[in-house]
Amino acid sequence: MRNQHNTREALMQKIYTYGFAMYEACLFLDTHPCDIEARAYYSSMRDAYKEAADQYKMEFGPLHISDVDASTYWTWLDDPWPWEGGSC
Amino acid sequence: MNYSPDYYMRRRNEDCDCSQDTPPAMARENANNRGMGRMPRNMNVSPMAEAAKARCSFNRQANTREELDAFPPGMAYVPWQVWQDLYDPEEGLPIGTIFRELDYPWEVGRCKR
Repeated sequence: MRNQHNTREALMQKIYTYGFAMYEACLFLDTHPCDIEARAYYSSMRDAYKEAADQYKMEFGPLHISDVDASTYWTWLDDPWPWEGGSC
Repeated sequence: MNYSPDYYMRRRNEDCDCSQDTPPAMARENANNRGMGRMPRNMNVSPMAEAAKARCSFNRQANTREELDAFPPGMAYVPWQVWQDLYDPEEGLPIGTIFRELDYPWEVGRCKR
């Protein structure tokens, strides 16, 4: 359980980190849309973000409301919420 | 003689004598009236001095507006950023930027990690 908690935290940290780097590249690219290096950086950060986010969603549940699969149950309510000890 | 547009802005406070406790013109007037019972002795600021201050304040506002109109439109310049010298994403997140050249020592709002 402890190990799972660490994995959850570590995954969330990756999501924050790569998401932030992705948005930084976005801000730069808004004024430098042709910059090859910046576009390559954005692509790599986006891939890393998506990989971490997909793994998180698979193991721990939805990150965004659009991730919820409502076919069997409303999983958005699954515990723990951030204020209940879930990583945030 | 032509002065630069900001000359009057720079000189504005120096030229105005209303900021002094007793403007020179008012001081002379007070001296002429001394002992004639026309001005209360315990008055710190005479009505005429107050009127002069109010007039000066009005003129100052008007002058400021005219002086601002004399300036050319504002032109800002921001150096063109180049994609270089990045922090690692893990390092940049708590700093608040991945761009080392934008990492300034802001005192407020920085993550204290």
